[in-house]
Amino acid sequence: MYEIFFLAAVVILPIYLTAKAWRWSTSTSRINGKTPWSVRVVEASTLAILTSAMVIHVASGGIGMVTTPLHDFVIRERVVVCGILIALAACWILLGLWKSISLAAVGMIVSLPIATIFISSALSYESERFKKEILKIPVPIEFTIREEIDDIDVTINGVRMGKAPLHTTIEELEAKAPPVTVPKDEYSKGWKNFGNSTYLPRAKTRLDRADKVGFRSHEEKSEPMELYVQLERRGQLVMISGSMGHSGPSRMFGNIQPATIPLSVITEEWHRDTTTLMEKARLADYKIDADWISAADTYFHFVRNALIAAIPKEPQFRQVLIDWAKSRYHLDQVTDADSAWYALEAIQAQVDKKGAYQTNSLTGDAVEYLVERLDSDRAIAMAKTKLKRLSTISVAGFGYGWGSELGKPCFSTSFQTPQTDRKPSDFVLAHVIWQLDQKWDAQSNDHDNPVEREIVPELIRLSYLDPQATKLAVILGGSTLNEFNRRQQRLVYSFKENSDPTKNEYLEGQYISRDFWQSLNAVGPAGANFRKEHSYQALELAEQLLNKSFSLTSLPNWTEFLFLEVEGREPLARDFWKTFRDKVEADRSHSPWRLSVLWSYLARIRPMPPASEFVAAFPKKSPSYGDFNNPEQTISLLPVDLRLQVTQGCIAEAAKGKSILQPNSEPYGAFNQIEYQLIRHIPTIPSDAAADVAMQYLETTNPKSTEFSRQLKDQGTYGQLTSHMVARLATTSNPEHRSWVIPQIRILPSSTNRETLVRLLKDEDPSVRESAEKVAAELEELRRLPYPKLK
Amino acid sequence: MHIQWPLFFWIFRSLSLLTLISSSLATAYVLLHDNPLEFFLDVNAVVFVISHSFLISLLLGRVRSESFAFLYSQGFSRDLLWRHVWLATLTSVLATWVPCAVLILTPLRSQFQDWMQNPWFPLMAPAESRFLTRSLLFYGMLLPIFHYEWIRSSMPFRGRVSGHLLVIDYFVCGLFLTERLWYFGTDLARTSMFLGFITISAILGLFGYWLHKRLEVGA
Amino acid sequence: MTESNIVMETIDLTRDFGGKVVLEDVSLTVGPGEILALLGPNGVGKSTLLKLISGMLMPSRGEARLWGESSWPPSAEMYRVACVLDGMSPPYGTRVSEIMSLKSCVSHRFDWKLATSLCEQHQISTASRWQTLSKGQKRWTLLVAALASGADLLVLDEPADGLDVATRRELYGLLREQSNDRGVTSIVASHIIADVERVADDVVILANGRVRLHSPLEQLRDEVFEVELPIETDHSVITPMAEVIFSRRANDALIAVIRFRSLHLAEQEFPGEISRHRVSLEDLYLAYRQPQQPPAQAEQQGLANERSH
Repeated sequence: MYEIFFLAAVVILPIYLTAKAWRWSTSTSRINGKTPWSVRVVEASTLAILTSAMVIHVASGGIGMVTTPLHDFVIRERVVVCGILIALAACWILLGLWKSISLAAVGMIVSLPIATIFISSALSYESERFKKEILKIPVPIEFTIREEIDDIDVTINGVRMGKAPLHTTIEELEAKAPPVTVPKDEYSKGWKNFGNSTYLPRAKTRLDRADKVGFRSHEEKSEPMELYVQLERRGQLVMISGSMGHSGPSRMFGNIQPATIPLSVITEEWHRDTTTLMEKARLADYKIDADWISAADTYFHFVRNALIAAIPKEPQFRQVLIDWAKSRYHLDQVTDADSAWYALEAIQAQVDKKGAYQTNSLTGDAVEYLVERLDSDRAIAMAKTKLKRLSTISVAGFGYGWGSELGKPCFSTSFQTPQTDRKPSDFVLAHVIWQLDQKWDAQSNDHDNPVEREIVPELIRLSYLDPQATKLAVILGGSTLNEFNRRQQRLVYSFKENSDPTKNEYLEGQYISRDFWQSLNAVGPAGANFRKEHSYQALELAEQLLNKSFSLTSLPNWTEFLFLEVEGREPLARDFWKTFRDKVEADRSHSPWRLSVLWSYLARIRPMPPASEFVAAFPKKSPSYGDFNNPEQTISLLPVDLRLQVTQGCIAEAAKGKSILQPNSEPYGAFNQIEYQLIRHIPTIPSDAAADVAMQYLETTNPKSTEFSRQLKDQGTYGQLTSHMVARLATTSNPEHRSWVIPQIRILPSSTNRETLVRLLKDEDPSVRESAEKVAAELEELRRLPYPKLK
Repeated sequence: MHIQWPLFFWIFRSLSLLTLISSSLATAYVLLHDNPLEFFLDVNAVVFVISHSFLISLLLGRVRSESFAFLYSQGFSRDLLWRHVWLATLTSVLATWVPCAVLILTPLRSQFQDWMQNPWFPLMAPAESRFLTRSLLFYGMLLPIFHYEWIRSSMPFRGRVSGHLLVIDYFVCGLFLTERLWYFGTDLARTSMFLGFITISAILGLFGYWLHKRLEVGA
Repeated sequence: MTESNIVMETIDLTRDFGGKVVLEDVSLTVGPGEILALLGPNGVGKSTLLKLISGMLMPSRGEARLWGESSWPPSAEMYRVACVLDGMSPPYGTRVSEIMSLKSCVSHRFDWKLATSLCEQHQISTASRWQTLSKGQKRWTLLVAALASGADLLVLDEPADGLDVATRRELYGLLREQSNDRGVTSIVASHIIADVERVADDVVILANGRVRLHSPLEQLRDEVFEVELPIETDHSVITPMAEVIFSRRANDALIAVIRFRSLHLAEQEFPGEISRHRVSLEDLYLAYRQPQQPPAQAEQQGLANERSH
C-alpha cells in the first residue's frame, strides 16, 4: 500500500508539475506579487520539520543500521552523514526562504531517494569499516560463580587473575595468561562425583575469540583459545563442574557480547555440609527450625538444588522448601489478605530490584504460598489493568515465557536487556493468576472461575495483535475461550499455508495456517469438536510433520493435539499410532531412543492403553541394547501401575526371542542384555507387587541371582531402594539381605526407616545388630551435630 | 460562537453529497467489517480518512468558482466565513463518524457481529473506541494541511503550487519515515516524528487562517 | 470633501496580473449618497477596480479605503457593502429565498418586504431555483438582494446586463431613491451610458488602466462643448481657454470637442467661431476614446488640468 502511495507521488508529481508549468506559461491570470516573508518562513519551517524527521531517521540508524550499536567510530560517520543531509536540507530551506518554496519542496522530494541511496552507500561503507574496527574492540570475558559464593580466587592458565566474578577481556587474558600445555590426563586428575555431576580440580574450556563479525556474511576464523581454570577459596581448592558450559563471545552485527563462563563449584566440605543439612531435615521429619534455615541460607544454592533433586523421591521436601521460603520472605507474619498483599508487593519489589524471576525458585515457592491467602479479586483486577495497557504480550510482556511443551507455561526469565515496560514483578502477578486458576479448577471446573471470566477475555483481545496471548488463554481455559474457539473454528478450512505470512505458524520446516493450528490444539468442547470435524486433515498434517521431523529422540512437541480429546471418539493418537510406530521403527539412526519415544507416545493416550500394547511396542525382531541403556528412565515413562506388568511382559518377550536364536548370535546377546537390565530394574518399581517379584528373583536359584543380589546391595548402599523393598528386605529371613537396608537407613533416616532400624537393633543376627548399632550411633551423632554453616 | 445558519447551510451544501456517501460508506464498513477495528493497521480506514479530508478541503476550497466568489462578495467577514468553513468541515466529519461511534459504543456493531458468530465479538468491543479517537486525531492532523493547500494555491503571490508540494512532501516524508521508523525506530525517533507532524498541522492550520483573510476571490 | 465625508477613496491603486498592469495609479474619492458612473471600454480595468474596492482582490500597490479603512485585507466594515459583480453567481439549485436569507445574515437592516415586492413585480417567485431563472431575472434577483440589504455602498458591475429598458429605468430610479432617502452611495460600471447619464452624479472614464476623466456630471454639461472653428484656427488659440479632448478637420472647418477650463470662460467666444453646441455623455465618452489630437503636449496639459480639477 505504502509503495503505491510512494510511486503515485513520484509518478504523479512530475506530470502535475509539467501540466501546471504549461498552464502558467499560457495564463495571464498569474499574479506577479512577491511572496510575503511570513509565508516563506512558515513554509520553510514546515520543510525544516520534515527535514528534521529525516535527520532523526538517519541519526537513529536508518534502514538496517538500527540494530547496530553506536560505537564511537560509527557515531563519527553518522555525524558526517547527518551533517551532509542537514547541509543539503539547509540548501533547500534557504532556497525556499530566498527564492522559491515550490522549488525547495520539489528539492526535498527529490532528496528522499537520493538520501536513501546515500544512506545505503554510507551503510556499505560503514559495514566495511565496521569489520575492521569492531575487531579492535576488546571482547569482555566474565567468570562468575553460579552458587554466588564470594571470596573465590580465579587462576587461569596458572596465573592468578583475581576474584570472582572476574571481569577481564580476551586480549588481557592472552597477554597475562598465555596458553599452557597441560598433559592430557593432568587436568582431569582427582575428579569426583557429587550428585549427578562430575567435578574437577581444574577445568578446561575452549573459547572462540569472537572474530566472527557476522556483518553482511563476513566471517573470519581463528584458533579457539584454551583456558585452564582453577579456583581457590581462602587457600582451599574449590572443584569445578566438569560440564562447564559457557556462552561464547560474539561480535555479531557489532553487538559486543561478553563471553560468560558461569562456574558451578563445590568442595567436599560443602557437599558434606549440604548432605548433613538434608539428613538433619530428614531426622527432624522434615520439620525445619530457624537454625536449620540460617545454616541453609549460607549454603543457599547447594541446599536448594539438593532439595529440588530430592523432591521426586521424597515429596516431603516440598514442605521444607515452602517453610524455608516462608521464613526468607517473613510469610509467618501473613495473617490476613492485607498482610498477604504487602508480602506479595515486597516480593515484587525484590524481584524488580534483582531483575529476574523464576517460578521454580524459593521466591516462586513464596508466591505459591501467598496465593492461598491473597485477596484474589485484587490480584485479578491488577492483572486486568496491566493487560489492558498492553498491545502485545511478547514484546511488552505480561510475563509468560514458554517452555518447550505446548500448553505448559514456564515462567523462567532473566532480563539481560532492559525492556521498556516489562518488569519482572509482572511475572510474579502472572504466576499468581495461573496459580489461582489452578486452585479454582481443582475445586470445581463446572463454572467459569474469576480468572476465566476476567483475564481470559483480555488475553483473547490481546491475541488479535499477538498470537502468543492465545497460548496463555488456552492454559487458563473457560467458556469464553471455548466460545471463541468454536466461532474461530467455523472460519477455518485447511491447514495449508495462509497467503498472509503473519497468519502462519512455522513447524518442522513448513508453514501452516495458524488458525488451523490453534484450533487443532484448542482444549475444551470446541477443540474436541474441531478435531472430530477435521480428523482427516489433522492426520494428514500429522503425517506431513512426522515425515519432516528431523530428530526423534523424544516425542515431538507438535504431537500434543493427537492426544487431546475428540468429540464422541478416541483421541487421534489411536488412528495415528501405526503410522507413528512404523516411522520410528524405520528410523535406524535413533534406535537407542526408539522404545522411549514409542512408550512416551502410548503413555500419553487416554484412556491409558493396556500393558499389552506397551509390550507389543517391544522390538521383537531387531532388539537394540540401546533401548534399555537407562532402563529406569525408559520404564519411568510408564504409569506406575503398569510398570511391573510391562517389564515382565518385555522380559518374557526377550526370553522368547532368545529361545529361537543361536546363543552366540548378536541379537541373542542383545536380548540377553535387555532381559538382564529389565530384571535389574524390577526392585526400583515403587510397588508391593514389584518388591514381591524382586524377592522371588532373589530367592530363586536363577543363574543371574548373584548379579541381582549384588545390584540390590548396591542400591541399598546408595540409598536407592524403594520403601517397599526396604520393608521386604528388613523382614526377610536372610540376615545378609536384612543388612542391605542399613546403609539405606543411614542415608534416608525417615521416621519409617528409623522404626525399621529400631527393629534391626534387636535383630537375632549379631552382624546385623552391629551394623544397625553403628548406624544408630551415627544418627545420634548427627542429631547432636550443630548445623554446619559456610564460613 | 454565533452561528449564521443560512451561511452554514450554504457552505455545507457543497459537502452534502460527499457527506452522504462518506457516512454511508463508513457506517456500512463499521457495521460489516469482520476484523476488530484497529486504525493504524487498517489500510482501508487510513485511505478513507485521507480521501474524505482531501475531498472536504477540495470542495470547500474551489476558490476560483463563481459560487465561491459570490459567497465571499456578500459582505461576510473573513473570520465568520472561516469559522463556518470549519463548522461545515466538522459537521461532515461528525456526520460520517457519529453513526459509526453509535454503532461502536452502543455497541450495536458488536451485537451484530456477535449475532453473525464473529469470534472476536463481543470481546473486542471495548478496545474499538480507540479506532474512533485515532481516526479523529488523523482528521485533526490532515484537515488543516489540506485546507491550507487550497488556500495557498489561490493566494495572489508567487509559488501557488507550493501548498500542493508541501502536502506531497508531508505525505511522502510521512510514508517514507513511517515505514521504517514505525517498525525499527527508537521510541524517541517515533515520538519526535509524531510531534513533528502534529506541529506541521498546527502551524499550517493557524497560518491557513491568516492566509484566508488575504484570500483573493473572483480573480 | 472632508475625510469624514468620504465613503470610498482609492490612493494610487495599482493592480497587475502576471506582469500586465491592468490598473495604474487610480486615485478617486466618492462621497455619501453619490452615484459614480464608471465608464470605459472592455478590458480597461473597471471590474478589477470594483473588485479591489469591494475587497475581493489585493492591490499590487496603493490602496482602496472604505469609510477610512483599507479594504484589503477585507475589514469588518464589509457588511456595509453590497456587490453585484461580474462572474459571481450562486451555485446550481439555490433558491431565490436562500439568496435573500444569506444576504439577511450579513445585515439586520435587510428589507424583506422590499425584496419580496421587487421580486414579485418581475414574476420571480422566492421559491424559484437559480437555474430556472432567465438571464434578466438572475441579474434582477442579485440586484434586489443588494438593494434590499440596507447596505451603505452598492458596487455594481454592469447591473443592467440582460435587463429590459423598463427594468433598467426602475433600477436606476431605485438607486436614486436610495441615494436621496438613505444617502446610499453607488459605484456603477456600465456600457449603457444613456442610462447612467440620467442618475450619475460623478463620471469616471478609464482608459489604458488610468483615469482619463473624473468629474461631476453637472459640471461636464456646462463645460464641455463641440465647437466649429475656421479651418486655419490654431490649437494655441483654444488651449488657454479650454482643453481639447478631440478635434478633427471636416470640409472647411475644425471641429473640436473641448472642455472649458472654468465656467465663466465658457461664456466667451473663440475668434471666428462658427457654431457651438453641448455634447451628450455618450459623445464625450466617444471623444475620450478617439486618438488624441492635437499633439501629446496639449493632451498632457489637459490631463493635468483634469487631475487638478
